[in-house]
Amino acid sequence: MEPGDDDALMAAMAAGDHGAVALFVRRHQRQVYGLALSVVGDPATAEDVSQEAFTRAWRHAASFDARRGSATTWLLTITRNLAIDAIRLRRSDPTDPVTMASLLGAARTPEPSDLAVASADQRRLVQALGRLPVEQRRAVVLAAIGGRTGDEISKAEGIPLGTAKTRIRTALLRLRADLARFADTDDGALPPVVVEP
Amino acid sequence: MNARIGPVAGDPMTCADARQLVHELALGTLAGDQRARLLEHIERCPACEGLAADLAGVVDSLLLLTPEADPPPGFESAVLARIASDDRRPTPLRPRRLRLRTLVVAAAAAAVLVAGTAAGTVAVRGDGGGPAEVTLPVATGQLRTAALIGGN
Repeated sequence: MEPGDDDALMAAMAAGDHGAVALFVRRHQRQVYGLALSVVGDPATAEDVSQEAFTRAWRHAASFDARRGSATTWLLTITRNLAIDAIRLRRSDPTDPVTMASLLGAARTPEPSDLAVASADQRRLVQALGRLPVEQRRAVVLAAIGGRTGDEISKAEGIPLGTAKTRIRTALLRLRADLARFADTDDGALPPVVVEP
Repeated sequence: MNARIGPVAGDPMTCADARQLVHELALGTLAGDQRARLLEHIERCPACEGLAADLAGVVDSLLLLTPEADPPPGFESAVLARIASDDRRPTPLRPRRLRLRTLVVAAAAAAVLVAGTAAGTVAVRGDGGGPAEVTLPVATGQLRTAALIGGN
């Protein structure tokens, strides 16, 4: 399916079309549930978060504007924020090792079947992640995908708060610089990205 | 264009200050006074705004890298049942309506990314029936809206 199909589905959802939302759910449920599971690490919570994400998408479909970004990013941002809220509300410890391991697994190298449909930008981002020192990679994944704070990362990793903050900041700046530097190249080569839990 | 380096009267945050914090804006972990001051700076500093937009874009892109997973059987029908029982109809949040000021944007997408992640830490209720956008001091864009929707 093309991105334009998503825009049409969003417009139909905004108009109250239940058939459109069924298609939308079918199309995005694996991505939404995968992200939710990565962040919360618990299938039951991930399912609840995913259901709520689609419900919010339905409820607020009219606020989506295709000129401002993709429906996928919009939906995943909703999902991520709900997942982070779920951790805060339902889990006493955002630094729980099991959850952290699940989250760090989220930055492993995508499957070849996923890469077949991955955009050039996504492939470049995977490459850029692979070029980061492992401790920076862990920090940025925990912060950006998992919504963990510098304080939580410092506790989980057993490092000073300042170190955790520096790792997050440095990693994001390096990713940005790397993506800008390689914006005009796309050799398709993918170094392995492994974040040890 | 009005990019400035260094302190300026009436602008309590410098570019140097902003660059120490801007990644936290992108991550949605900046709150309170620091966030307000940074947003105020960004609104008037295209260079820092560009950096914030880039970093927010990186954060958003990372979300796309998470592995897909099969939800439990019956997921789709459970979602549809939840939606069918949802008595709140789709409600536009009118993201273009600004209350306090208009974020000057060179590129609409940049504003979306800046604003979207900026809203991530705002304790705004998008579902309480009230017009959520009036509680936000700045910004436009659907990622802001996404943060809003997902944020409670």
